[in-house]
Amino acid sequence: MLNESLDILPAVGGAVEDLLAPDVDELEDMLVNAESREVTEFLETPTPDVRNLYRPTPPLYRPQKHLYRYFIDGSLRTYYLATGVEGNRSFPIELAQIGAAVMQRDERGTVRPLATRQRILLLLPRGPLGVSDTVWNQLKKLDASDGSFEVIDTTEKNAMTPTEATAESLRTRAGGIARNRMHRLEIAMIERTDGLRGDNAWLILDGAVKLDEFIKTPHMIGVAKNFRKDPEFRFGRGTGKRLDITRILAGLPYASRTAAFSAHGGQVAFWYVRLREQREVDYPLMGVVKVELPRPDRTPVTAEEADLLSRALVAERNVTPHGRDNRWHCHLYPIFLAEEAIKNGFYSKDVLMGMIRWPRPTL
Amino acid sequence: MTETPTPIGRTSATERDAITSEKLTFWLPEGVIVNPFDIVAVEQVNQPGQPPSRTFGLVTTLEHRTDAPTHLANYISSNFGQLDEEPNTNRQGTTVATANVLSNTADIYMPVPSERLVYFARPEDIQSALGTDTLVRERRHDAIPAGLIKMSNGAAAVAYLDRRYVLGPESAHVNISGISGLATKTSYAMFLLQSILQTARD
Repeated sequence: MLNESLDILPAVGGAVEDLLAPDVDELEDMLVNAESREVTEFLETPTPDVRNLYRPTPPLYRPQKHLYRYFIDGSLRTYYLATGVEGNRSFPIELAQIGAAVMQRDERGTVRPLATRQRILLLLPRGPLGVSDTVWNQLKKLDASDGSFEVIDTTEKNAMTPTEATAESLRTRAGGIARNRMHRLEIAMIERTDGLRGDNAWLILDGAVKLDEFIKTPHMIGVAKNFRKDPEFRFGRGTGKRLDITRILAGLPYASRTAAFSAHGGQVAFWYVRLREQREVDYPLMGVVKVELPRPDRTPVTAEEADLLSRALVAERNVTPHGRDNRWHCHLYPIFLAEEAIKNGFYSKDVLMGMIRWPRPTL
Repeated sequence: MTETPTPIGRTSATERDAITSEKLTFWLPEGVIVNPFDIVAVEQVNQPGQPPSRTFGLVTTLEHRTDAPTHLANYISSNFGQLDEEPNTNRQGTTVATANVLSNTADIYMPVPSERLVYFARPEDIQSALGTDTLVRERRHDAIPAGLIKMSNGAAAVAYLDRRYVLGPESAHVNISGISGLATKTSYAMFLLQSILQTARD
């Protein structure tokens, strides 16, 4: 009945328990691309025909052309430590481990870390919602000179936390700020590949290419495993032809891409690529990734270039982390390895909590 | 000039697979070849104020492990069973060797800690591992060559039996085990008899 009356967009991977663990990538896409919900322009040349938005992109394997050689991902773990009380103010105190890694693949297909970075963050608010300046100044003396440990004010504003802090939002803001710092590490990893990337050595960043600022790095794409499901596509004058993502992606054949659309005023070209045949997966949106290509000069991407990037991306679908990650159908294995490299460098929860000396309650 | 030995792996203890006083496990980097019955050496702890001791082990099994949780994952990673599918990225994997502990230079049988470098045993170390170093050093006339140990790195060492435990009032016996019907046991017995005749003074 629902399908007869509505367009149904199944949750990727089937019905998932919501609220307990909402998809962070999807939420971040909605936040970062908040002003790009309506898509009205292509960013591809020659201009695609709105009546046919699909182009075939058969896989281009590494022995034929080894295009993607660097892969970047970031990870974080946050822990709610305690509620701090100072005077008549109470506030959450959180700890986060963040990390980012850039992996390099050699000609034989072996992936190794090129660089990894990890940080520990202590997150708590300063000011009317949190600690006094006196306590804050003492805490800031704990910041490590190499950045390995940092105390951060959770009332700060950034791309992940654009609104004013309130007492109720402090805990979720801490997660957003930790995520923002993780993205900064990812940017540092991108810079680590400066001079190494080129026409035959591209980098894949897990996620969007707009973090705090746009990443204007050449020879780089962002590949998102999960993305917002509510953009509206409207082309032509007047009412024009309206499409939603359901229709666009449901009709996208295997090893094909959509036309490249414009986002952020032409600074980003994005399109979707289907990596998996429909018969291999349970739901229509499984096996589809969103590709973002920075266009700092706001020029359209050529169809040829978009085809090349997409063909090489389709070839990245194997090996899969099937059985290790629910997102196996759209999870690139080198990105999965980057995650593993970071997480294996994190302190375990037992070690981290064991390093904290809890105060004895006074009666 | 003594050549610096090249490590062949690192010891690895996990949550579920501990290193014990009887066995140790180590992973091998790409390109290293190790075979069953190779003898390896690992640095081990010692009493306070003493230099580190060394533990010797006899490689018994080698396993290649990857991060694929099931065979189905590998099947799916070949594009659902395509034999001609070439994955762009090699699956992460390593060969893990298990070695039985033979001996320790300071008679310390604590489990070898994880992350220690593992080396092939040198020929002189093999004698120590087998417990025949004193025999070879101090009572060479009682050392009966019983065979040759050849390792996969090309190193070789003679394995000796102590004549006193083969012949005379303190002797026991030599037990030769092997596959039946191939005459290998008989051939070895003939070889050992000839070795005794050539070596033993009386």
